[in-house]
Amino acid sequence: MLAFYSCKKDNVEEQEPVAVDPSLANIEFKVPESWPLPVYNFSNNPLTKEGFKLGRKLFFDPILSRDNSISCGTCHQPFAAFSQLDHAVSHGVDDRVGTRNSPALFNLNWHSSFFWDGGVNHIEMQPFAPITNPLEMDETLANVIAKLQARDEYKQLFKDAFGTDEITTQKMTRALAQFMGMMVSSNAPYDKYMRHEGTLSADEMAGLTVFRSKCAACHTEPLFSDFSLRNNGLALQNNEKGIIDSGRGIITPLDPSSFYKFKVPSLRNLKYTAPYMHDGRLATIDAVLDHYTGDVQHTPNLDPLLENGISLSAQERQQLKAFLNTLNDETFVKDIRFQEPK
Amino acid sequence: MAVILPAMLAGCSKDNNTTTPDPGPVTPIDGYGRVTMTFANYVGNTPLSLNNSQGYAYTNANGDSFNVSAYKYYISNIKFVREDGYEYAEPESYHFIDEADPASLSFSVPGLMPGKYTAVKLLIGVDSARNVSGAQTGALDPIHGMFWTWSTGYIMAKMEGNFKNTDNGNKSGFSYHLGGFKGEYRVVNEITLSLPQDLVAGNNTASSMTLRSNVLEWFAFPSIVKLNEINQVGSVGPIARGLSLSFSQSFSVTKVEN
Repeated sequence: MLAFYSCKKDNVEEQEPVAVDPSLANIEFKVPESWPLPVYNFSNNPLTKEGFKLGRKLFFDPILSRDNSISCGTCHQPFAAFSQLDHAVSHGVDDRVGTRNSPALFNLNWHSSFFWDGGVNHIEMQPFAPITNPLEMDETLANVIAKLQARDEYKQLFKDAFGTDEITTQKMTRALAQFMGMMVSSNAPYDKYMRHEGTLSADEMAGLTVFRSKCAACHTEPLFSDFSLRNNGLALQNNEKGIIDSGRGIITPLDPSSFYKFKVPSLRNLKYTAPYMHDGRLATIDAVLDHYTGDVQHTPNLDPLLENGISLSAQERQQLKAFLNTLNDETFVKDIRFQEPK
Repeated sequence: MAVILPAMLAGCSKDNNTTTPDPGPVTPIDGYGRVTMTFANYVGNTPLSLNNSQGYAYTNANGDSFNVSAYKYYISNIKFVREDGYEYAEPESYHFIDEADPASLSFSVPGLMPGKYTAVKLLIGVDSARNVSGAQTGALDPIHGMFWTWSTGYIMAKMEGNFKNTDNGNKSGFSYHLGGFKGEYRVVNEITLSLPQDLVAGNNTASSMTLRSNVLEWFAFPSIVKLNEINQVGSVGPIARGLSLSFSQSFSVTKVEN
């Protein structure tokens, strides 16, 4: 069996030059220069072109939802840096409305936890939550596997990726992890400046200085998040379900110090990912800056760094916005590897 | 019901058929002994019969009448303790026991070094490592429904059923899902069970061991559980922790045959 398998592999490799799919031509995970080591490095889930291809197919296939209407890509759109354009909160099957803003997806291999409350501890475990959430895909894992097994196309794709057409939840989420883990955004003007491949304007440089003194404690370079859970002082207001979202408090309800804390989001790709905050309540970057400069609420567990808000002169604010604009990575949102396959 | 009926039949045939241990799918390892472990779930002295609609056959220490519709749990990290102190740890030792699935109640462990074994150690639940290591398969596949998807972690044990409310006679459901793999409210507990007689392993020997879990023990510790008061447990905390301790105490080895 093993000999047969490796033999087949060799044949496939020989054929490669003839039929190269350009969206699969460069499937290799590289840690960008001077970045920290990632949390997830595919060590138990070797990254392959075939695994990536399967993961991409699954990501954009509504088969994962109960009524085959919603895919991962519905709420995580490539052109929106894999957030959802103009949606404050996610919309699931039967037009059910969720309670949280679809987070942008990139540089996920550096995340030590997932979701706004950090409730999921591993990239391979992440897909199980939206698939089974009644407000999102509302499907059972058993049904998903049965539906995939019933499709010859998937049997072949799983066989190509994992050497056997046996379809399991583990193989499904590992393929999804290969696709999502490959999504690295590291080609913004800021990155080019840091690599000495480009320059920033005087305003942008001044904004970088403002950023480093006033924002970087939580939005740590180069990922622009330290991935910690913090209360940033948003007013406690009822969500779509008429309740106040306690954030991390949902995961650890017995720990009062966890209430109203949410995972610090990256500041990369803000141009594509509006609206902002865990419930999408702030529509623009200006609204976000207004919050930090004048509207931080002293709610329980407010992060000590925000005790007095953030002071920004009009000039600093304008410079900071110029700098944030250098974190938008157009090559990432247009990367052909991450688009929905035709 | 179609699922439950075979479970009951299999339970009966198991009891009548304890002299020939099921070798199971595991290949014997030359030079080593093998033991077939069978989990028998009981209510007091009566084999558990899953029953969702036919009355309330069982009574707990508080006097609540109840039945059980689902009884599932994880056993992991099985170790066999030899009389000289050597311990044989089963590799990849993760077992999902589901009363509704007769095939899950029995499995074989090969690879026992020859000798006399006097005790067995079990982890009731799934060790923390497998709760933080990404997607698992086989017994640990989340497809079994023993997993919290929004707050990563295995449900170590599940008991669900119905009871008659002792205050008003109303029928209600109860659902105990025990989860939490770290911290003070961890529900994963290691137990050591002495064997009623030595398990003697030799070259290609086949032994069997019957372990019992007693449903009634769930309601016994740390104080008597009243189903009126505690009937929905689905998050990490002191109640789940308390129930996990009582559940862990519910195990015993009732029979060893060589």
